[in-house]
Amino acid sequence: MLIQLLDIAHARSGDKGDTANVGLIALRPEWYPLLVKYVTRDAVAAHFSEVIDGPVERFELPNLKALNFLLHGALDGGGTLSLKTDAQGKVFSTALLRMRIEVADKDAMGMNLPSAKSS
Amino acid sequence: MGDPHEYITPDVIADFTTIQLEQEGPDRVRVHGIQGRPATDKLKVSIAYRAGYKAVGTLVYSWPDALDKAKLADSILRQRLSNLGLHFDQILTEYVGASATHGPLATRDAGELDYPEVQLRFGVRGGNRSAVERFTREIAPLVLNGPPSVTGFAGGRPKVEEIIAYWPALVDKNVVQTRVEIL
Repeated sequence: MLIQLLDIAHARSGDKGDTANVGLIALRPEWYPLLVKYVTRDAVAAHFSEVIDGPVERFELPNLKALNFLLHGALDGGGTLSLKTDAQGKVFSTALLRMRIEVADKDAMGMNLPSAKSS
Repeated sequence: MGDPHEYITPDVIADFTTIQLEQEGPDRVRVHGIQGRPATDKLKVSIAYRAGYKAVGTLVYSWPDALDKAKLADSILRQRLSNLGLHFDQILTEYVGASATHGPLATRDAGELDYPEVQLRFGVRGGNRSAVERFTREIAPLVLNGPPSVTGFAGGRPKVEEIIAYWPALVDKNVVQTRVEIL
């Protein structure tokens, strides 16, 4: 089943130099394991491959049902050097929520997951 | 935040993976159980330095074909700068209303949408002030000689800004002597 992160998670983001820091928080605690399993470092790196120059790091915060991602080389130098509208990386959050994941039937069972709107 | 296990503050290194949240009542959350380690032996120094100049110019294109018009204006502008022999450390084009915030991720999802309007946002950055200054005079000609149904230029030429960049660094605490004076 195809899921858009928008429907199962909340996200916030900001800058640290040339790195965008994106927090992804499960909207329901029972959905957190799906984020851990499907929103991998490699999947996020692929999602942002046209947008960032550097590697992606992922950290888990099971206590907050959240993942924290560092997207390096995301802000054209960052801070005052950057020419970007989003020099502070504030909307990498919603850019991550665009991501779609294909959840296996056995993982989706009993989870009441909203399926991705077709677009 | 970086690594949530090691959130470095001036006083301690906090481990955010130990934070416990509890709903204690309506509009009341208990935050507790947070652990950490002693602070590091470094102080953070925020250094500012001069890092060249930048200017950003914008024009707004209306429906129909707003995005295509803005893209054509972008290619004309780039050709003009190249013909003038101007060199910059960076040139950035954004299409506000289409892809300024999410880049190619946005236009991929939007498909062939005919946007109601798109703002062309064109920025240059470099060490040579006069080159950046020269760029600011290239926006107005696009209004008369570029793709039609363009507006949003009443603000005049873009202004050249000097860039004061930020360099965060670490120094050993023992090389800094603190002294308090009360005036």
